[in-house]
Amino acid sequence: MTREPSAVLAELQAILTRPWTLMEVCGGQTHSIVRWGLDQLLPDALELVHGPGCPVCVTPAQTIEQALELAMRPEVLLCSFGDMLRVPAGSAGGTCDLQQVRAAGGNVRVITRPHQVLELARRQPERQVVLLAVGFETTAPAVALLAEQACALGLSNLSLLLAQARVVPAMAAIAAAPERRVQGFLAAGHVAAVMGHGELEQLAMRQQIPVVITGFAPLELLQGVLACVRLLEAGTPRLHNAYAQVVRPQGNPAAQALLRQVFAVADGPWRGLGSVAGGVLQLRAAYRHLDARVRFGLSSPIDAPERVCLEPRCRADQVLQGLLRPSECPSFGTACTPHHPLGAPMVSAEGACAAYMQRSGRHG
Amino acid sequence: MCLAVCGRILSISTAAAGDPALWRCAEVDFGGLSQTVSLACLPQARVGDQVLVHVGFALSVVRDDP
Repeated sequence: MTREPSAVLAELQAILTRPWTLMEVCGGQTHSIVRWGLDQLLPDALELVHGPGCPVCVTPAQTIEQALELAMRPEVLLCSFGDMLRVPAGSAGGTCDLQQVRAAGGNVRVITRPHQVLELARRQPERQVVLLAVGFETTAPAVALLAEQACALGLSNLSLLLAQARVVPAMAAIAAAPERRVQGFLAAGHVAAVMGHGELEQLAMRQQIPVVITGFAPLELLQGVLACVRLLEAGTPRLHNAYAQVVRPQGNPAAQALLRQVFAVADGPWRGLGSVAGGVLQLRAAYRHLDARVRFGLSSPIDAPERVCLEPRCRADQVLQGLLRPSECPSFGTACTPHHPLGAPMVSAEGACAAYMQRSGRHG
Repeated sequence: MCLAVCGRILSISTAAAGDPALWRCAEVDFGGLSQTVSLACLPQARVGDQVLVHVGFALSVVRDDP
């Protein structure tokens, strides 16, 4: 494998015969690409478009509204990853976020590990402790473990407000869309570390599109791009693993077994993308007593059609599908900034809009 | 959210009671900062292994020479 960035770029330049459009799926990869200016190092004929792999960005507005509602209940302690705190939700004209609810006296606790929720629930038996459990297959095993541990301890005051999404079905939806521009995928390395090659191999075969499992460091990303261009130039749309130091072909079998034990696959909403076939996880019947929506009488996201965007000035739906570059949005940097975000991609550490804002900040 | 960090396992512990698979933990060193991490899904991980950790949960043993 080539170890020097300059050598990777030289080889790219040498094998490139025509323009190609690649999508990096994960928001962490988007941030790395923009932060290190990798998109500006690549030959002009190569375009990187940014994918929907930002769990914060695709969490349905309805779920955030439910979190806001729960956080205002006096008996509830709502736990959330920090990224979710500033994502706007609520009806038009009255948008609100968890940070505002906390400032108004709501009980919101930022956590970095689901295990902290278990500790909180054990220490505060008088409180109903709810985890706003957003994430992809990378995060889902830790949430599944929390569910298993809560059952093992018989904790009756812990529940999950679930928004667990599955990445590959969303990639399949993007690949199958009639307006598809994407010719190859850089797949999210850490999702693949859990799920392995299987479903990505199927995606590459069914959609006849090259898929390269890619890491997050600058050189890993460049190697992913090179591997994808090699497959495109050779006309061989298959799966390649460019992140073998972390990703095994079988993934993590114990984590997959845990996911199967706790969750079932369902069709469900992604914010900005609408309903995605097989795109979400829900708790199996044996774990339904841990479902915060059941416990507090809230409606299920599976039953509610996802509104495309609450805020008419926000074009997050197009940004998330790689149809619009963040800087092409009329609100970018004007009506919508990290201080006053109109949509989730401007908030999250993985949102494409936030990544572009950081770059424009650095370069004046 | 899918960001994960590599660290090296310093020690491994199992809860005194209950299903060991559910509670197996490691003390992991992240360049000088150590944290307790769940090893529930890495039964093969050993002291000294480099592991990839996300939200306090070890996902994969990292190989130096893939």
